[in-house]
Amino acid sequence: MIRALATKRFNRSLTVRPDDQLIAAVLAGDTADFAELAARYRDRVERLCQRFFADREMVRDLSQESFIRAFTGLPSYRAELPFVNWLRTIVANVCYDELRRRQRRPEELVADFSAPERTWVQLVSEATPEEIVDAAERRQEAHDLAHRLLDSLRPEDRTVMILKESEELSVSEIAETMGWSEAKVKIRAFRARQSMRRQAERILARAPRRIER
Amino acid sequence: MNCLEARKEFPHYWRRVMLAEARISLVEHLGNCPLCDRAFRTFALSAPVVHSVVVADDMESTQRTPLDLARPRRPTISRDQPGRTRRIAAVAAVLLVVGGITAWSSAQSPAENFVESVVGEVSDVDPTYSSDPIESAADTFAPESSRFDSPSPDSSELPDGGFAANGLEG
Repeated sequence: MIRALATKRFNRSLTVRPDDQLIAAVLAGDTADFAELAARYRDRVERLCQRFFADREMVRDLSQESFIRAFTGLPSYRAELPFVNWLRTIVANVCYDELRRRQRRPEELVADFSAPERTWVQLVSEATPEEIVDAAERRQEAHDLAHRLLDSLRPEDRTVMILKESEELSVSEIAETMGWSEAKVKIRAFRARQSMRRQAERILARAPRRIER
Repeated sequence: MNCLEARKEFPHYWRRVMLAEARISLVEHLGNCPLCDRAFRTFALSAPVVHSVVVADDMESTQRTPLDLARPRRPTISRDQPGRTRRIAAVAAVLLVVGGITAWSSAQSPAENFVESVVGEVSDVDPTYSSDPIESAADTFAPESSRFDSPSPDSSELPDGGFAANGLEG
């Protein structure tokens, strides 16, 4: 009996079972299969959460919450849509709800930079494009400042910006994901870009004047 | 490369998914076009989160907690909560207005009403309080001897040195 179970598990581990098969198994009552599904998409879910929030604990919580919602909502999943898209809809909505819950006044956010953030701004305003790209990969403050900039957006604008720019979804896909009209998505995307540009300009204007190379 | 083409390539340049020639062409354009150069710098401030392939703050797999489906859910707000808040605020505003009108239209004068609502019934007010400012001032600036009917005697003048008065007898 134990050997049979072990063989079954071993065979499972050798073959990559498609999502639909795992979902069918979970719906049939084998809830342990959901762990495999979750492990498969965990990186992706966390990466999307990280675009919304810098805080690790928050990212973990939201990722967990997304999987719980996916598990409890699995009976409503329709196979016409790839599972990953359905899961992304859940994650985007979980993050959006959280953004709305902790909404702050935008004007409070882009102010009072830390010393490393000021150094980063100065580098962005003075260095060559290649140096900027290289430095951004190594500097945590580059990420902190980018999150700060995103914090200055309204939750709707921020959600659209992340789904459009980071996830590279089309307007119609974003509309479907968030349950909004395409017109609303377009307006939000425009406002998000405009607002981000304005805030970034303000930050760069504070940096010392660029040294001519 | 023109400005429109150059700006479309920013995300690819940031993610390093451009051909070498295109990359060189973009850098050249940025060197010659101050507007695109500025646009690239504003882009660079948000790109570390918006356009990065892997977010730098990536979590180590060892730090991950196992998925716990039985865990209590996070408190979340419903999408219609702002509407509910507005309704509560509207009801509160109506109650305030009705309360205000009731208070101001009662038999007493508005000022009395206000005083009563703040300090309670007039009889509740400290009986030593004098509403006559001259009387109050006279009382305040009167010589000390006249303010006390029976000044307490100096304890050193008492026969027992004041011990009995202070409860320290014996």
